[in-house]
Amino acid sequence: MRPTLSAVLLVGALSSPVLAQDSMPTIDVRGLVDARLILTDNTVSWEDGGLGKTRWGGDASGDNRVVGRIAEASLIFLPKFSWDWSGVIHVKVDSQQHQPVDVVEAFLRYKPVPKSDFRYEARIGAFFPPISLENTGIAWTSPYTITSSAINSWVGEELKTLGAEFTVSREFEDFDLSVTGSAFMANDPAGTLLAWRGWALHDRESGLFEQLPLAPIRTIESGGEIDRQAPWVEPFHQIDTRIGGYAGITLDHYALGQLSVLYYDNQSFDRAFDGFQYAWDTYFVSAGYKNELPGGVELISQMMIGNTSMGTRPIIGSKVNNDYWSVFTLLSKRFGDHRVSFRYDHFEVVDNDFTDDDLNQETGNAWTAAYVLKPFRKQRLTLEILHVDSKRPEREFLNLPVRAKETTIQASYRFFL
Amino acid sequence: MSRQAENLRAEQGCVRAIVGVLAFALFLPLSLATAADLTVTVTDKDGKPVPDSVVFLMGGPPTEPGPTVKMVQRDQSFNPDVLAISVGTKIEFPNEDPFRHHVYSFSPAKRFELKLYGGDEVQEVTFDQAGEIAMGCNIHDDMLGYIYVVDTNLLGTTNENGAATISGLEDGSSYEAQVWHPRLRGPTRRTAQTVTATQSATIEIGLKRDRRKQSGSDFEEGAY
Repeated sequence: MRPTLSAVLLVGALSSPVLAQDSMPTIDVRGLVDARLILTDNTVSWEDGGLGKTRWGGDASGDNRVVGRIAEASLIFLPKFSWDWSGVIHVKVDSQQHQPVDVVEAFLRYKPVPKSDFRYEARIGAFFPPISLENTGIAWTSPYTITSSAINSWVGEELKTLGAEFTVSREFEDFDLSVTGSAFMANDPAGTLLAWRGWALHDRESGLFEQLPLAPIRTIESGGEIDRQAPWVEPFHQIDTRIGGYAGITLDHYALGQLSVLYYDNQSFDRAFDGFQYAWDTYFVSAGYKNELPGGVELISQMMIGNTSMGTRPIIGSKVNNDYWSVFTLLSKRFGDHRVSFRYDHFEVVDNDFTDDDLNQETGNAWTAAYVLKPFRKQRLTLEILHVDSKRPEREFLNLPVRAKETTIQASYRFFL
Repeated sequence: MSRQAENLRAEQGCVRAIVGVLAFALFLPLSLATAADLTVTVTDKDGKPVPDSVVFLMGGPPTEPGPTVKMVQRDQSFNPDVLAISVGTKIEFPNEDPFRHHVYSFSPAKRFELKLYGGDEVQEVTFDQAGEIAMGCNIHDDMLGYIYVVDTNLLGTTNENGAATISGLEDGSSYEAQVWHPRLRGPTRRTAQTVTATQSATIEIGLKRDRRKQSGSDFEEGAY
């Protein structure tokens, strides 16, 4: 893997942005570096083996800390093979990911020029399903905040389409309507984190070769009901032979705003196991709404409700069977080079199974306030306060308080290529 | 200079003055009658000026193609947003951005597709049919621009103050003024009102909300 990536990086470094009259194929390169200063809470983050909800938490002795990190360095290669065929390859380095360099998205796009009110677009490769209304910036960043909502944090860490997607859109007098469908492989362990860690709020989207840590909860520890599970998740692992899919519809009305609904099912065979990772049968409905309110205030709201299950036991059904749901509302207003945003998240996991040592019940709320300043071209400064208040009974078995109130203050400086 | 000569000069000056006054009296009304101006101000229902409205008058002399004009691709947007031309006029499409644009239209009045690399290349299109032409860019979905082709040379596009001035009208004559705007309510996006040349007129139109993004590309934009 690594030599190939180095070669890609080298090619990218040598090629400059597109010049006039170039013949195709060509490659454009974009990217960003995010330098971060963080004042953490004392709760230990899930990233460090705890059950905290944020990306950066307290140290091993349970004290809060101030840390400086390169939160992300991303390069995005944008090859154009012809006027209809193009590609996207997003390569990322961050201080917490499993691989030194990983691929976040890599896909080929076919988009012929419209000949009528209908537009067509097809994507083949690895990419995020079209769920997030927040992560519209380069490298799947949010123009509003540093930290994504609980819903989109999960999309970024555990969901990826490894397959094909086809979208057809039609323009009407007052609205655009688009319908999308996809078939994909892999993504079988998706749902693991929602069950055994619960929801989280962060900005660390996973690469294709990612391993995300699991806290030493009872059920996966030695002697636990599901102790063959490795203490990490590989979200894009292919475990069974089934094909998953999603189907969605988006209605974008000039006055009423944009409404999207998507149904996702990874169709995993919930008894499949490949030696250290299980397949989780995960499905959900996601809905998103976006509009501009009077006064130029942008409103974004999303909700997601679904179920994930794995394993089987005689009579009583799945070893793990959890419902999950979350909703958030974000309000944002831009004042020239400044932007102010507020978001409220609510999230829950409901544990339906009868496995004694597997307590995945959870409920929580999060409040995010962010100020963005773009002092110069291609630079962005963001200050963010994130507060998450969550209850998770399983914490008691790790000698932690069931209720955790976590506050993270971050300053991010981004430089864009 | 002799006194006689002085008298002669004065007499000549007098004659010249009389001829001048006569000429002024005779020809000024004539010139006014052939070249009146009309300023039309377009406002929305709240009385706010509406820029980028096309104002045109029917009933003028036979239409001739206008001089070639430009629709510029700059900062990932069409400049101007709305370009009004007479039938038969050519439009050049320079690309001033350092990246490509793939401009297209499937409007019945003109279907075309332009692959704009940029630099010094000049690509032009002749618009020989009246009607509205909506343009997009297949690379940048947010780009939206309009060309409006009319079968008259009496046309103008409103400025920031919502005003358009049309010259070369017959003084005192009445015309049917048509106003077109991409967000005007109704299937033709057009409204008409009778106006009289030499007077200014205000035409009120009902507009749909503008949901387009602020023009210009953002370096953070991730819709690649």
